[in-house]
Amino acid sequence: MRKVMVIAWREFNATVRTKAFVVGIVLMPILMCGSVVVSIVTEKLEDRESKTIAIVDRTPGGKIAPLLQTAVLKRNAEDSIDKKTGERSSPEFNLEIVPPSSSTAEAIEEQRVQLSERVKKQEIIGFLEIGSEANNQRATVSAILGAIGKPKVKPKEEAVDGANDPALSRFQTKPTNSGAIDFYRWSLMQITLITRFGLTDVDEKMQKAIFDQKPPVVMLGLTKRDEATGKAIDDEGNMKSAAQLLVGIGLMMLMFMMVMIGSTPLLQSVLEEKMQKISEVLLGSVQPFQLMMGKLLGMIGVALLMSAVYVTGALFAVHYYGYGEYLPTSLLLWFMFYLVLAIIMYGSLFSAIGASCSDMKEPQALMLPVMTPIIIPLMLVGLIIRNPDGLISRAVSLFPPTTPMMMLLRQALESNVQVWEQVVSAIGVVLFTIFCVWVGGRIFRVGILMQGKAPSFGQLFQWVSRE
Amino acid sequence: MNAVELVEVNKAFSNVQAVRNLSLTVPEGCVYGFIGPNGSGKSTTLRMIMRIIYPDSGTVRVLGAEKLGAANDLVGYLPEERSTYKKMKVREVLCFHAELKGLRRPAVLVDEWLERLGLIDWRDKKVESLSKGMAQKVQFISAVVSKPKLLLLDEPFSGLDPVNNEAIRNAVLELHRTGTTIIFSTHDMRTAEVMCDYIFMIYRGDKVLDGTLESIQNQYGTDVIRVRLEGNSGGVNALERVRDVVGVKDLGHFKELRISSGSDTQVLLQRLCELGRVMHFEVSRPSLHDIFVRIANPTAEEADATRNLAVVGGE
Repeated sequence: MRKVMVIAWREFNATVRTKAFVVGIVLMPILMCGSVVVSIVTEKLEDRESKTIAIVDRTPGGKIAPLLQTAVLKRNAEDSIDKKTGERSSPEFNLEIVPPSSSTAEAIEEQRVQLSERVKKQEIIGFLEIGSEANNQRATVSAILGAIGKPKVKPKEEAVDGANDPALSRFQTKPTNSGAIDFYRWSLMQITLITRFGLTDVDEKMQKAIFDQKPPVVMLGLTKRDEATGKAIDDEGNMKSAAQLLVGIGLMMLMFMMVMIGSTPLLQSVLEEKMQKISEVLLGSVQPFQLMMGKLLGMIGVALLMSAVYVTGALFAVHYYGYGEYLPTSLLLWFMFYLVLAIIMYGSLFSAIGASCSDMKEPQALMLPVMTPIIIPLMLVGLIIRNPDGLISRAVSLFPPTTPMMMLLRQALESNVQVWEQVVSAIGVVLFTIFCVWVGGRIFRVGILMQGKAPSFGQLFQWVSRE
Repeated sequence: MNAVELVEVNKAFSNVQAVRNLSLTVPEGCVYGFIGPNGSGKSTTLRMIMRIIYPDSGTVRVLGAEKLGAANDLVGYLPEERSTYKKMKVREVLCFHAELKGLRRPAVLVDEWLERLGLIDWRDKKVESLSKGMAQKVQFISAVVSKPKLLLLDEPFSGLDPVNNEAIRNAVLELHRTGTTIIFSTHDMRTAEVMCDYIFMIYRGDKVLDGTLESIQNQYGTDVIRVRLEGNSGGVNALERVRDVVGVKDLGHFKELRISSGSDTQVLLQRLCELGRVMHFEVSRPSLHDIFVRIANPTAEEADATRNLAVVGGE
């Protein structure tokens, strides 16, 4: 055991006491978070600007556009401002009412082309063309039905091209512009209100009153009964789940990074030592298994050190901003538990691969099956977040190779992770890790002394099962 | 107690029989030389003694024990192909190796050895900054610093210039004086002749010689006469026709004569005087190289390889 620690200590020092490590430990979060932060910040900056949309009202009398203007002003003044901070939470919409061209097909098309040019020149972010029949309630309804694909009630009527249906309004923009998408969504509600309930014919007071309504539905978290006071308390909803999301994803990304940093270099390290003939010298003093475990433990030390640095930093930040509850100690303990096991699991397999090759190019083919369970969780993040207790999420978190990252994510999301799931998956991971170490150890022992081309999977299997 | 005992050991690697029915005994405290050309099975045998690989059949007993693994702290090992962590400092890496052998506080012993081999000024330099010879010396120290009772050195002198060669040789002899059993393998017959108490020769997996140099020479070698006749009288053909001369080797000015066993060297001298003026007449025992060539009947290349080394080794 002492020898294992000697090797582990050397491995740890050789990795940690280098400039590369110190630089990397500082640089890594900057790079990872930096890109995220930069994109968030620039998005916010962009959002501060007001967005201009052109409105072409083709209804007779053009009464819808001014109503829209009223609605927009009210929105800019009140709805788009964050009640807590007083800051603008979404950009101002600026409506420019453009007189409609004549109603010939060419003129209509020409105006659309011109307005599209203006969008390209970034004078406006999009334009809303309100169809000439938009205010005609009956026509609107049947037009909408037509757009869904039901056959027209009166077969004599010409089938109208859905997008050119005069009962519909069209909003044209560059689909990637998120501000424009926001406007589109907002305008859906307003146009529906205006056209379906004939608001153009209603007096001004009524109009203002209708537009003055607060959003009828608020979103909250769950209600629980406070033990001390007996009162029912509502969780805050949005805020908390967003934070939980960040924590969950953050921890998972951290684990991913640590597993990559802690276990993949082992392949390189073992292979290099084998190629440079250092291994045989060491094997005169230690057993192959001791060598493998020593290197594993050393890298676990490295990963734990790095995680400790990052987690401590995160804890400071989180407590400073008062979000301490989002990073509970139990979660951190689970993180450590899964991290150590994950590194042992993957590290022993990577060491085994390194030991069985003789050349830098050979490991590629063998690496793939080991890398797959590390990458799958990343691909499934979106799915898990949307549906943390769904069948796939549960299955993946109970499958030992992917348990560390998936289970951690689920636990961070405070979903309905049952206790039995936690226990079963923990046992599963431990057993699987032991299995990996055993398999890895046998392959390592045979491979480290072997020269010649890399073995096929069949041969590897032989190594494990014989003797 | 014998340091090493091998009994009927066999080892094959994918259809190639590396070692065949090998038995040998290494007494404690001696210097034992393993000689033989490349690929003869020397390294395999050493690895089996180290228990890094296991024989297919037969027993290996080291320091009286049969079951010890490679991590036997009483045995020092220097493999043929060797290297160490280049980015570590000399002293650090040596302490590392010493600790792996079970030494608790190796720094003092490490410094002693560095001093002895003239490397003390380099102790805080990284291994990669050393020349090849210095690096070899560091490797050597890593094998001996833990005061092993048995020392296995696979080609310890390869790649060393004469000065460093000498330094290692002296170190080995000193260890011998303190009672360490030393087995070293080499394909330099010259060094083996000079340093070893016992010599063990292996060729293509089979044991070919085993014993003291003297017993080997007595058993397998007939005397060899080195002669130089003035003006090269007669040349090789004439010499071959002299009675009792069994073979002639042409070394240029000198000729080496092999004579039939039992013949009288003085009578031969008289016969040679009849051929011409004898300028040089030397009775020498056969060299290990010659014995090897004679008994093992190797291919011409292998014979040349060993001979060239014998010449380089310092004729």
